[in-house]
Amino acid sequence: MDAIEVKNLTKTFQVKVKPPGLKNSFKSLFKPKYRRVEAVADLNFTVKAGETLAFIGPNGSGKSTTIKMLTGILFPTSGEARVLEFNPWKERKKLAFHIGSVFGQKSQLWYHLPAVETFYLFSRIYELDSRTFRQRLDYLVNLLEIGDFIHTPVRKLSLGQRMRAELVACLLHAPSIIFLDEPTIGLDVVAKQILREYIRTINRTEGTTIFITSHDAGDIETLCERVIILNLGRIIYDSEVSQLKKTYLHQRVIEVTLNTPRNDSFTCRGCTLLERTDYKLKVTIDTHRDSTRDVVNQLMSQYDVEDITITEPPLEEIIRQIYKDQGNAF
Amino acid sequence: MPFNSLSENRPGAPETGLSLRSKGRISRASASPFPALSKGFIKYWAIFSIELKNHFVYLADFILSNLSVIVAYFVSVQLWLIGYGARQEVAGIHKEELIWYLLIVQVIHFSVDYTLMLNIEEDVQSGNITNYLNKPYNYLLYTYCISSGRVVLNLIINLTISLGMTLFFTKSFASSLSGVLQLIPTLFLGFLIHFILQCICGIAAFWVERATVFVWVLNTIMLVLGGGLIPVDTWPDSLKPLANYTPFSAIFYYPAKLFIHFKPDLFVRFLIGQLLWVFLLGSSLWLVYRKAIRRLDINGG
Repeated sequence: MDAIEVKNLTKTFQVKVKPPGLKNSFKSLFKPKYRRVEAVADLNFTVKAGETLAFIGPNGSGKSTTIKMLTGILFPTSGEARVLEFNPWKERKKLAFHIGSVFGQKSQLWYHLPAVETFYLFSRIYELDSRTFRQRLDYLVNLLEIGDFIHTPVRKLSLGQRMRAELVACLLHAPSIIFLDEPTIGLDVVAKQILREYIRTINRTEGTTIFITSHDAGDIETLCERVIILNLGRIIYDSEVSQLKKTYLHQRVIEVTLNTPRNDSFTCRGCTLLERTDYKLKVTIDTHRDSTRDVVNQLMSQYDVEDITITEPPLEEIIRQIYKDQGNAF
Repeated sequence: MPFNSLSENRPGAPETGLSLRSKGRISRASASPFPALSKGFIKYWAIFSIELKNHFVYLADFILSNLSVIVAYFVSVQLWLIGYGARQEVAGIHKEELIWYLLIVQVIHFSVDYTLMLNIEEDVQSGNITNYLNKPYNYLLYTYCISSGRVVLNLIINLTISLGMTLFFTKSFASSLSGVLQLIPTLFLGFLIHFILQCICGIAAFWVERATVFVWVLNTIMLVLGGGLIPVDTWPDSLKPLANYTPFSAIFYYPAKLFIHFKPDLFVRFLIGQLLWVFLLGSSLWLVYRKAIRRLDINGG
């Protein structure tokens, strides 16, 4: 059963173009020039009910625009979409009862009031009766462990706490689909991991379809079954995450900061040196061939290490690789 | 209902805080005890209440920010008293009545929500409007409830301050019980007309880059042509039709005039006038909003 069905979805924006200079500014007052920007072009995909889908891409790739069309906020230029069998932009209010959304960069909580006030407001907005609301709130408060700060004004919460409260607000009415637009943005590693765990639990226990956009490859690896990669408004990759991992997420970048300077020749089995200064080493490893643990142990034994950071390859690198494999230039 | 029973009756499913019937998907129609009509009222009342609560957090600051009404009211009264000179009455308005007329218009002026237009522009241009459009309510009604929360609190504070001040200095009351009671519908409708005008201009942000250009112009025109500075009765005859054919006097002049000179026929005439403006401007707002929402362009997260 498909929760989301998208056919030839396209959205173009008109952007005003102002050439530099005072004369041109004056001219554009009377004869403005516009440029058409294709934010999303000819998207086709479906999402099964209960699926966790990562919808990823670099800045300006059209991720947020797609979410806004699927939640009925934006009207498409052409194409069709069905979300839970509703037409999002024609039946926005009806659909709103069945979906939830978290926009990582825009809070829906009342800043000066405790989060519980927003929850109460949402219970009214989503027309929940008091008993259902209380039961549901108790359940979510325990699940997301927000009991300690539910009565604290939102402005005094850490970003991690605020995002958990945002998630509760989004889940109060038990939506069938939740759209998460960069929910882990700005969070530290631990907070990210905790949030991912909660999202996974919601998906498992309630069968909620998760549609998540992110810049973070970690969100995809730990949370999603399937990934769609978008670039310049077009789908360039649609596959299982396991496939993506096998093909593109098998590299790790390790950055080592040294306590004492070293300038002798670098030797480390399984590493490819990317950058080196007296106090720093940057290497890449292929996890298909060598384990991260072995390489880290090797580095720790050979050098006087002050700090070590392990990261996935940036999304841009994965996209470059996909284009390369597809025989296109990036 | 689509996907309504996706996770229902799943064996061993953990307790999710919902009854089995609505587990995972709250079925509003059956779960809600609210009759259809009151559902909307409860929803919008909750929105209005949260805005009040929001202001209660900084009530002292809010009261202090309203103290400027004292200065403005005092200055306008003094100017008018100089204008009256030795005369006791101008254009049928007694000196004492004029003080009470000024009280009502100043209270309205300091209570209406002049930030509304800027807030809508900010929501449109920052993309914050996404958080309002993805909820099951009407954005205009939501905005009205939020704005009303501010207006009601402003009104209570400004009225208390100005009333206390006027009674202290004049030791008289130039109105009647009917004059006071008529304030309830005429002030409410006046605020509604003000809200609609501000909203129409705020929604212009969907087309123009800065809706703020309208703020100063609209607010000044409203105050001057609405009888907020000079009572319409004292205008030259050639200008008086302006008050009849623009909605601004329905915001300031109607409640203030009825407060000092209440007449049942005038009350009915003004009330019908206000309702007509609400209908005309409200329909325009609805049309503009419907068109605007299709134009919404939000780039980025």
